[in-house]
Amino acid sequence: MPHVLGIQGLATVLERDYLMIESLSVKNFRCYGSLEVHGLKRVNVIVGRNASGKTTLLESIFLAAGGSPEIALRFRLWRGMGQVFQISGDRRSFESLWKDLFFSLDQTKRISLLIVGSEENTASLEISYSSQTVLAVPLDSSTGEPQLAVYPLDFEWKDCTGKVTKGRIKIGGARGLEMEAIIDTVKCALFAPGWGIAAPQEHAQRFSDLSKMNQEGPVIDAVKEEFPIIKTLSVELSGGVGVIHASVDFLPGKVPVGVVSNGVMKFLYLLLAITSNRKGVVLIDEIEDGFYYDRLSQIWSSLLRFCTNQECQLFATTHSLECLRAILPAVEKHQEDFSLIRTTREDGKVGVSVFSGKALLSLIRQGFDPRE
Amino acid sequence: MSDDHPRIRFKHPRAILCEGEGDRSFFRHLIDDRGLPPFDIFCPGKPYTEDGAVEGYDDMLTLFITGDGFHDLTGIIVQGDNDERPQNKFADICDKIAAAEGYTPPNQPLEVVRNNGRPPLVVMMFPWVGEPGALETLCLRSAEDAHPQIKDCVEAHVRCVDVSEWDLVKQHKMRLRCMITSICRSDPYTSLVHAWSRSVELIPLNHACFNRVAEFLRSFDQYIASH
Repeated sequence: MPHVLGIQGLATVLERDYLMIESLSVKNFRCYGSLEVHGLKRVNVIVGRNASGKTTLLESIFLAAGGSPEIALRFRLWRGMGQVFQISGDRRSFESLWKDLFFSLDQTKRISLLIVGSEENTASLEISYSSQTVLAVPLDSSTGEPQLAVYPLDFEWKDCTGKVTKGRIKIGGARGLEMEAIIDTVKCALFAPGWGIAAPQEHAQRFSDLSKMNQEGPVIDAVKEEFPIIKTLSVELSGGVGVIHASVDFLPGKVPVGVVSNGVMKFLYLLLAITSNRKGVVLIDEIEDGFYYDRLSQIWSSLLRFCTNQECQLFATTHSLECLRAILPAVEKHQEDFSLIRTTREDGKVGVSVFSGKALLSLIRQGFDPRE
Repeated sequence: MSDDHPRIRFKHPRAILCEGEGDRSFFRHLIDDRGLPPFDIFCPGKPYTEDGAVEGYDDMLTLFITGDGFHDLTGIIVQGDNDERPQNKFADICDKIAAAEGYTPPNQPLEVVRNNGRPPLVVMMFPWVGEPGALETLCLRSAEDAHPQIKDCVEAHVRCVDVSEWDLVKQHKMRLRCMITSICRSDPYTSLVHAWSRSVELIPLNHACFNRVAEFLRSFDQYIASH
């Protein structure tokens, strides 16, 4: 009997004294057999050709930052495999869900992700297949028939204090597919093209949370400053769910912010994510997506300002030279807050080089292409 | 800013950072003409300032780090013109080296400095250590010897317009421009960038005035190894 799982929600975890991820270690995850990345800064700009591991870098941080084994399933949406999938009880079926998480599709090797932060704050995650796959024989409550439950994947998180939390994905039993353990390590939000549209109520929740604490003002001001057509923002019900609405000067009533502009919506959602992930991490795939070119400089500056104020760290991928050149004013003023991460794939092998904000500044100022 | 420089890629184990496109062209042709070891030659992409083109040296040395093959470099030459005051200009270049990421400047021209994770670096001043002038000073000597009749006409012109109050290097540049303009019928406005690409030999590179530079480039590997 196939089962269906809807994927919703972004990970948020408890606030703690986390300043910044300074290094990242990845083993046996997707395209990375073994990777060490050092010199990470407040704003990390990731560039590289297609299939060179940019998105995988974001995924590795998102996974290590924690939340739930469900995150691994959410990558399916990110990678264009949709929100819905079907599984059956045989091993080949459930293994196909996660096989691509493993380097060279080798599921016998353990995935190991480690993020090391300022002041020795660390978080790690190890993922491996259970050696013992059939662990339980519960009774199906509706039929009284015995049901096999299979635990294909073990997740083991360790936070900065060394506390270990284990989570498992369980397939079978009465409820089909279950996720065990939702834990808190590092606050983290992830934006991939299309995700903002997929979960508008989540952003509305963030806005509402800020509004309840009278802290939505800076976000609204920044959006109004960047996009003067916006007069105000508020959460309104639309189709029974909360959606952020905008009041604009050319319409008599409020409309969902996405109706006004995808760029406005994305900028708003990014600011909300940064504001509600204080001392956390925000990951953005293809940051330039949706923004008109002449907005990019100010958007970079606003993101840096919000990240600095919220002690939040940003990782953003881009393919756009225009977007990189637009970063110049922000880097000129705060080069110590930036790093350039360049991913490469040569002869089938991926690699990562990290350069300073000064190197990024020099490349742009002298007319070179930071992507190359 | 220029789109001519999409990426830094070191094809050779030696690199020269020079002030401008004219210097770059000079080095390229000198190396070809004299069969010298190959160097990758770069100059800042920023527009030159009143103070000269060393303005972008810190950027260039920093962005070298991002280039393919950087860690295979065995040495970098940073070239500059002495202009009127060799000590001051050398100090300006050292300031730029110090502002680059991970480099410390030398105490004097032709001193080899080694920094952790960076290739050895040498500053080479034109026309040579301690001598006022610029690349144009050397080029002028070569052009005047190759075209003595034009030299006499240029001298008459110089006397007529009276540039005796000008800085020495400005006078050299003015004379060289007049020489090139007077010789090169196909393009009297030929710049140093194209000065070695014309059918007429404007500035012969086999002139003895270029020997010190050429010999330094020829023996650069040994020089680095022995200092």
